[in-house]
Parts: sequence; structure tokens; C-alpha cells
Amino acid sequence: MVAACQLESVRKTYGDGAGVVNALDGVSLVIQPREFTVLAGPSGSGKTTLLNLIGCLDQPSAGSVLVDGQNTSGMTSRQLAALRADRIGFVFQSFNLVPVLTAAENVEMALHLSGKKWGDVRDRARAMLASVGLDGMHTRYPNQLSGGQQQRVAIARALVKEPALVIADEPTANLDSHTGEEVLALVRRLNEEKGATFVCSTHDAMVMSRARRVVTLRDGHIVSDEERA
Amino acid sequence: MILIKLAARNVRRNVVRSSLSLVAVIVGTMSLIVGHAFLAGLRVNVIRSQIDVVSGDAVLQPLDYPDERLTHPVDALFTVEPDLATWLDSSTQAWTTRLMFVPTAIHGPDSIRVRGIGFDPARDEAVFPRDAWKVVGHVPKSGAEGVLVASSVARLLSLHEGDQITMQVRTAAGAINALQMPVAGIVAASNPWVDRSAVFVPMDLADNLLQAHGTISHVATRLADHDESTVDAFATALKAHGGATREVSTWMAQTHDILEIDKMRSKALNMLVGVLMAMSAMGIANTVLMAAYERIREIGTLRALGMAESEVLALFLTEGVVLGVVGSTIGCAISTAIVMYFTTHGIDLSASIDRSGGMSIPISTMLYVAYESKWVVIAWTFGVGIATIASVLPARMAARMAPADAVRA
Ligand SMILES: Nc1ncnc2c1ncn2[C@@H]1O[C@H](COP(=O)(O)OP(=O)(O)OP(=O)(O)O)[C@@H](O)[C@H]1O
Ligand SMILES: [Mg+2]
Repeated sequence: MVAACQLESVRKTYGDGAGVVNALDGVSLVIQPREFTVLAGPSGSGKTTLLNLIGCLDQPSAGSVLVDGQNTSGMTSRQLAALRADRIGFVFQSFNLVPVLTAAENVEMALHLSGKKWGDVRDRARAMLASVGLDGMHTRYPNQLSGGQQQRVAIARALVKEPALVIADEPTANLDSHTGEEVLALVRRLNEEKGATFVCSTHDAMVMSRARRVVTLRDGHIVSDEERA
Repeated sequence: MILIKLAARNVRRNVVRSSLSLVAVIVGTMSLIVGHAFLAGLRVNVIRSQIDVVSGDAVLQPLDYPDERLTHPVDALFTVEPDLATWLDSSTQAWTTRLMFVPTAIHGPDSIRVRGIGFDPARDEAVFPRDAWKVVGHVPKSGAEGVLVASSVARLLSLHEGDQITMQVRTAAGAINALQMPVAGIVAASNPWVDRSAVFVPMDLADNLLQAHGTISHVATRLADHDESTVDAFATALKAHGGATREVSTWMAQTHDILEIDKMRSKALNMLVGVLMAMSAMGIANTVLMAAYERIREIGTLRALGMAESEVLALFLTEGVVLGVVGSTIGCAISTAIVMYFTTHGIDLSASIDRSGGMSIPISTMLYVAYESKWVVIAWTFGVGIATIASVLPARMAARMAPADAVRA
């Protein structure tokens, strides 16, 4: 079976000359389909940088990143965009819904942008919203939804196109602990029911406690990679 | 489809900011359309006044006839030979003779120099229509009935219908002659060339006053078609038939100087509109740029969802184009309404003409603007084009943003 994501000796540097920062240095990592992986580590350790590489938002300075079997190095920005559209879902810390689109339209947007034909886009978006517990809220705009509801819409948007990989950078950081727990429970349920592959970064001990696999970063290196029960 | 929805809603989201840049486009297109409609109205007015009141389409007059104000020499008068008359009958819609002179009009203690217009009562109206005339009393049909005095002249000399007026002239032979005659009527022709100075004298009376013995100073002609090439061709033929000691002057020649000024005004207007449009371009560029800056994270999100650079470019360009289309359309609609209103409801210019002392400007005191659809097309195209061009740079900036940086923002 092809790995959802495979990194080989990845290095990512920012800036040049004296101000060069090694955000990631020699990171190798394989994530299998259906896994639920959490990236942990102190601030500045390189979690976001790593997620951006896995999510094809950025390319490594050295080493290789394979997403769903495809090597991203050497891809043009158009090819990367097509790969993201098709294979990768994103959940952001601050939800990042398009404010002028309704919940349903935000979800539909992901289907429109993905390269596939989805049949009835509206029905599909509505069904997806129902499965994240937002039945009947599809005509609401983001500013008419609570933070937790917005993050559910974002999760629906990420999952509706059945991506190979869902990237979530601190998805609970802007939610209170109770809502954060609910959202995480939802993510876990979708991970199990739909077999979606998740990679989350977090500072949150609660999130780490729910993960099957915790990868810890420090100063751009992986310092531990634990499987949990 | 969803892109257009997104762009349209984003324009609506910032109603105030969008409206401000809309206003700039609206003002730009409006000034172009309304400005040119007024200029065209002025041009049409000048030409129509020249043709309908002063000269017809072309006049035959003595060689080297002066065109200063209130100068009408009577030392080279001529007659219309039968050949010429026959030719004129077949080549014009109407023609008439006039005997122009500059008498001193005297009433009681007051006297002023006026423009004496000897006219043929039977033929004159066919060349110089009187639709705009307001006459108190009546237009004399022969010298026995007296003269028709223009309103300002009547006011200056305190003349009323039925009063006696004395006209003193140098005859064609150079002698001094004076006659007393009744005022048959007072005319207001809505045209300063007439109203400020004219006294219409039936031809037999003018002939008697000037001892002209059947000679005249002008043959005025009216054609069915006033366009320049027709009139030019006719003028050439008239010159050939008119004899070596006479010249032909067309309405184009007589309005040339005024219309040159008009062309300069038109250029000045275009420059002004250019400046306004440049300002609205900056307004739109700024609107799109602000939209891009405040939506960096949204752009990042859309890029993360897989939107291509070209689609982001299209999204922001569409916003600029929507602004341009809406602004230009509103501007064109409002200005068409304004222009249409003033094409039927004239603007009374008499006060400003009085102030400028424009005695010999042949212009109707009622200005009707002229609607020219070409300016609506130009203004709309220009407005939309400017808006599109102005959005290109900010849209490119938005599209080129690295998605990783954009989501982090
Ligand atoms: N665009 C950039 N230019 C320069 N340096 C950067 C850039 N992005 C990240 N860095 C640096 O790379 C390192 C890793 O940053 P990164 O954002 O990946 O950390 P993180 O683990 O996500 O931190 P946090 O938990 O605070 O989100 C940091 O030292 C950061 O300053
Ligand atoms: Mg981070």
C-alpha cells in the first residue's frame, strides 16, 4: 500500500547568509493511510513548517516529500495546487472560512476546486455538513456560527473531497477546552468511520492523549516518535 | 461561476469603500458624456444659428466683404442676373436677396447704429425660418407698412409698435439720406446677432433709402442638406455662376473661428476627463489592493484548497471589472438621463450672453444639448478598461503570494 505521506531527509531553511534559519533539518517520516498522527513540540520547533511541506504548500530545500506516492520536488506551483485540490484537506487554527460564502458554499468550494466530478455538489456538501453535526446550518455565514461550529465546517470542507491526507495545524488552539474536545472527538470519529488520514500539530495535552502516534519535534529534528494504544 | 459569486459578494462586502471608487468612475464617465453633450449642443447651436439666422448654407456677396461686427459696406452692390436666378431656382431649396447696411436709427433724442437688413418679404422666410421669433405687432410685407425692429434696439430707443423711427444712411453713391418710417413690429429672435442690433427693412424701402436701384449685397441660399461636403460642392458651383467680382461664404467658413475654439474646449475637456479617469484608476487600484491585503489569509486558504494562481488573479480582476462595469453603467445611465432632459428642456443662455456682450456671436439663447451615443460607448469602454487595467497589478500581487506565507499571516 502506498504511504499517505513519506519524507526523506527533509531540510527546510528560511532566509540566507547570516540570517539563515534551519526550520527543519534531516527529517524523515512515513505516515500510513488511516493513521492519526500528532506533531508535538515547543514553539518554533518546526511543526507548521513540516505540515506546510506535507500539505504541499511549500517545497523542501533538500530531501524529498512524497504525497500519496507523488514526489513534490520539481513540481510547478500549478501542479502543487492541483495536488492540494485533489488529495489534501486543510484545517486551520483560526478556521479560515471564506466569510462571504455560506457554510454549504464553503464546503462546495472545495468540491469545485478539486479536479474530480462529484455529481450533485450541493447534496454532497449538505450531507457532509450533517455528518459533522451541522444539519440545518448550511445557509449560515461564518460570522453567524460559533468557533466550534466554524471549525466543524472547516473539517467538512477538508473531508468532503475524500483526500488522501488531512492537515490540521493546531485545530483546537482557538477553541475553549470543552469545544476543543468535541471537535477532536469528531475528528477521531471521522478518522475511524471514513478512514481519513490526519496529521495534526498541537500544544494541547488533551489532543496528544487522544493520538495513536505522537511525533515530537525540537529545533527542526524529530526527537521522538511514539505509538500509543 | 462560484468565482463570480465570490467576487460580486466581496465587492458588496465593502460597500463604503467600493462606493467611493464607484463614485470616481461615475464622475469620470459622466463628465465625459455630459461635457461632450454640452459642447456638441453648443456646436449644433452655433451652426444652426448661423444657417437659420445669419447666412443660410452659403451666401454670395461682394468680393472681399468684411466680416467684422457691424460693418456692411454698400459700395459694391450687385444685381441677380436672370441666368443666376434660374440656376439658383434649380440648385437650392430656397434663396433670397438681402441688402445689408449700417444706418443710424433715431428716435427722439436717442440714436444708435444698427444692422439694417433689407429683406425680400416674399422670399426671406423660406431661407431664414422664423420659428423662434416672437413678434409684437407684425412683420411688414412692404415698405409702406414700415420696419421690424429687434427687441434690444427697441428698448434702447424706447420704441413701441406704431412709433415713428428715422433711419439715416450714406447711399450707395455716398450721399446722406434719411427717411422716417413706422415701426410695424418688434421682434425677439432668441439670437443676439438679430436681437442686439437688427432692423428689418422691406426691400423696396431699403432700396429707396440707399438709392440702390435694384441692387443688393447678398444672395442667401438654403439647401435641403447642410452637411459640409454638399455645401462645399454647392459653394464651388455658386462661385462659378456668381461672377468674378463676387465671393461665396459658407456656414463653415463663417463659423470656423468659433468652432476652432470649440475644438480646443473639446481637447481641454478630454484632458480633464483623463485626469478624472486617472484618479478613478488609482481609486480602483487602491480598492483592489486593500481588498488583497486584508484578505491575505483568505487568499492563502483558497490557494491551500487548490485554487490556481490564475484563478486568484481572475478573482481580483473580476472585482475590479465589476467595479468598472457597475460604475460606468451607472455613470452612463445618469448622464444619458441628464443629457436627454436637456435635449428637450433648453438652457437659457441669454443672461451669460448679455454679460459677455456677445453682440455678433450667432448663437441661439436657448441651448439644447446634443446627445451623441458615441460618447456613451467611449465613456463606458474607457471606464471598464481603466478599472481592469488598474486591477491588474494588485491582482497579480495577490496571485503571486506564496500560499505558505499567506495562510500563516
Ligand atoms: N517564513 C519564514 N521566514 C523565516 N523564518 C521562518 C519562517 N517561517 C518559520 N520560520 C522559522 O522557522 C522555525 C520553525 O517555525 P514554525 O512556524 O514551523 O514553528 P512551530 O513549531 O509551528 O511553532 P508554533 O508552535 O509557535 O506554531 C522558527 O524558528 C521560525 O522562526
Ligand atoms: Mg505553528
